[in-house]
Amino acid sequence: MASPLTPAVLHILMVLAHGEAHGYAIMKQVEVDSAGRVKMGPGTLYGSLRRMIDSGLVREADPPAGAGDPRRVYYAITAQGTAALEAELERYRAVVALTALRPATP
Amino acid sequence: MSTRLHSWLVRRYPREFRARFAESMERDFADMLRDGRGTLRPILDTALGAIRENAMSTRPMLERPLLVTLLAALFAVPFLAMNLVVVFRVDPVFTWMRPGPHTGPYELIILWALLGLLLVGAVVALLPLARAGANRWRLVPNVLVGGMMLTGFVLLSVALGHDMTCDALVSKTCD
Repeated sequence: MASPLTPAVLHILMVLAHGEAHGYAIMKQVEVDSAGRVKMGPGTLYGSLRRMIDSGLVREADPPAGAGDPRRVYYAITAQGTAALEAELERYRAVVALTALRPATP
Repeated sequence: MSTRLHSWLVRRYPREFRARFAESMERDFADMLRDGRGTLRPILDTALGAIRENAMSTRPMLERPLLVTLLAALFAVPFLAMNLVVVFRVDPVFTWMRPGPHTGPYELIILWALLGLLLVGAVVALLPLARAGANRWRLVPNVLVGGMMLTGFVLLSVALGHDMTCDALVSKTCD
């Protein structure tokens, strides 16, 4: 069984599951997705991306057609990343299902 | 100002990391400033990231405990050199240091700095213990060197602290 993903990795994968994005777009989308609760800075983002690239969850991608700044580096989720995201979401669903059957708080 | 500080922090990342991400990090920070998304939080995040990435880049080195032991022992060299200066009365350093029961403030700063290096060396020597693999015998030099440096630090700190207290209180019972 794979170990749980860190919050930063989970948020990045959730953004990239909807398409390729560059670093700043990832940061902004994570903030929107989390309703402002997760504000990722450059250190957290690129540190996470490095580990995700090294472990095969994410890869660098060609900029999409019509991309503004050609110097921007785009990132895309890999099949392994999609599988890791699915496994993590399944884990969350299992916890939610369990609390529906047996409330965590009395 | 904040851009320069951020660039300086980015340059503190390991070389391999900088080669891959420094340009993107600096561009993203400029975008954040332009969009008014705060300054302090991204700077702090970049600073913490630099500490984390540097710590992670040293991990492979911890797999070579003997090399770590040798590096740790280097931290004791300044302290040993000072002792040689005192024992062999190497001038003009010896004259400048004026060793004696009532040490001056500059000498105290130097002594504490040298003791601090001993402590850093001890920590470096003992670091591989945190990642001990199957063969613990490989870590014997680390334990010996680290233990000696740590013991030296504790004993000398206590002695120096005692001397400083006596100097401050001008206590006759200390002589």
